[in-house]
Amino acid sequence: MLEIVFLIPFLTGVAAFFLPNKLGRGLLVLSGAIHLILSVLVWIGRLAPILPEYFAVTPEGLLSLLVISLLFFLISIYTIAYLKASDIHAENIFTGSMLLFLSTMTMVTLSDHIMVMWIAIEATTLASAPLIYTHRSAASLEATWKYVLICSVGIAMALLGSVLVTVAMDVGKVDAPISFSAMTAVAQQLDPLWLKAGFVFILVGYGTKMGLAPMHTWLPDAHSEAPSPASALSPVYFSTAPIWVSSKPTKSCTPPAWPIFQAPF
Amino acid sequence: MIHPVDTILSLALLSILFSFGSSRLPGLIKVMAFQGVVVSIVPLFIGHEISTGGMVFTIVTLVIRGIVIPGCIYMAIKRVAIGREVEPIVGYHASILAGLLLIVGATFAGHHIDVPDSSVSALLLPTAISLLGAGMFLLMARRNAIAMVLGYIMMENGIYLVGTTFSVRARHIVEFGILLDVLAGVMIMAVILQNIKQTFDDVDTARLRTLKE
Repeated sequence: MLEIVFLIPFLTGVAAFFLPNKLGRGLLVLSGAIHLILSVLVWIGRLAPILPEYFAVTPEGLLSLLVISLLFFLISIYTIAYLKASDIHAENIFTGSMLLFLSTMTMVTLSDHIMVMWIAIEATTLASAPLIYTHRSAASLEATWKYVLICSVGIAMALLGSVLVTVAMDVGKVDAPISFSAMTAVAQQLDPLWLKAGFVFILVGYGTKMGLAPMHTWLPDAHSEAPSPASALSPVYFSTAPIWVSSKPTKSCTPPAWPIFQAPF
Repeated sequence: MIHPVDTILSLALLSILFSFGSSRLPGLIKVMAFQGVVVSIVPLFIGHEISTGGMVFTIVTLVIRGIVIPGCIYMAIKRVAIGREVEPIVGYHASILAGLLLIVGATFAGHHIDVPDSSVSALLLPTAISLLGAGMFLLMARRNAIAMVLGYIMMENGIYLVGTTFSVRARHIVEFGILLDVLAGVMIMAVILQNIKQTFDDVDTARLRTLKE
């Protein structure tokens, strides 16, 4: 049951919103530990997906998952000391959002369906927005606003790109599921024009989330305003997951000969 | 004979021009609600066979895009910002002219693109491109934070139009997930809007200038 890896932090995250502060802190470390154990189980190959249409274990995804899981566990231990020392207004929202952030990040690394991956990436934006606004200052509000608006608009571009990739399948008369593994197999038959258009939009969209220039303007502000545990966690995701996400379409796009797009990856 | 989809899509195009010309926020929100309704009923008239699940999904989309999302933003601004101007960077007349040029350009571009299923409607692709461009325009040409959120919603409407009509392969559960994400995004934006209003006593983004990379 592969899905349990992101379902557990999701459930504990929702629970953390309603729990008192001390319990919430314990839950954060506990979920981090369980997540680490489950990730290692995925690595060994013990967990098989229930919905193979949407989720799968891939080498790139596994690498990201293990890095995220290990760092989250270490950060969760540090967070306890951080929360004791700092004066955070709504601590349950902070711990809950941290766990939801972990859950959505995990979902990104495990998703094999192009739309499910988009859903998961947009969900990471939404789950991390309250983390940036933790300090409730005017500057953090400004950073949150920039982050949510710029990333949402950027990721909307990636949604359009994903739709165009499915159009490329329609035009090429390919009858396969919209999963990356299935698409790599039939990559030769996809319509090159629509696929190129889709890839450009996906690169711009997820590039915004990665903070590629010139779509990077939200990034320095968000990192300077977010509390340090959240700020420590997000680069892990922002720098590993989307790079891997952009490499996924490239993988399925490689056969129809477009060397220009391959170079950056 | 005029296809019913063409009528609906031309209403969507009209709503773009209306939104560019409206100076007051409540008016703009109403235009966006209208556009949400119009865009979400398009799949019913496309001519694909509609299953029960498809019907339910269309109704849910209609409720969320036409009622919940605009209502959410309306509630967020209710007390202070009612009747406020949208603080344009580009004036209204220039905006409407830009909108017309955008629609002409989108029609021109739409006719040069090979559509996989050309039986649907000749207006479909131009409308989708216009909605995307118009959303971008509202994001750039208005300083008011609420008008920016509405621009984002307009972009999403355009993508929805491309998505539901061109590719019939995505399952409803996946589409529902996308809709849920958009809804949650708008709700979070509405919460941030309320906080901006309380902290800065305004929703003019010109005041959000302290952080400069």
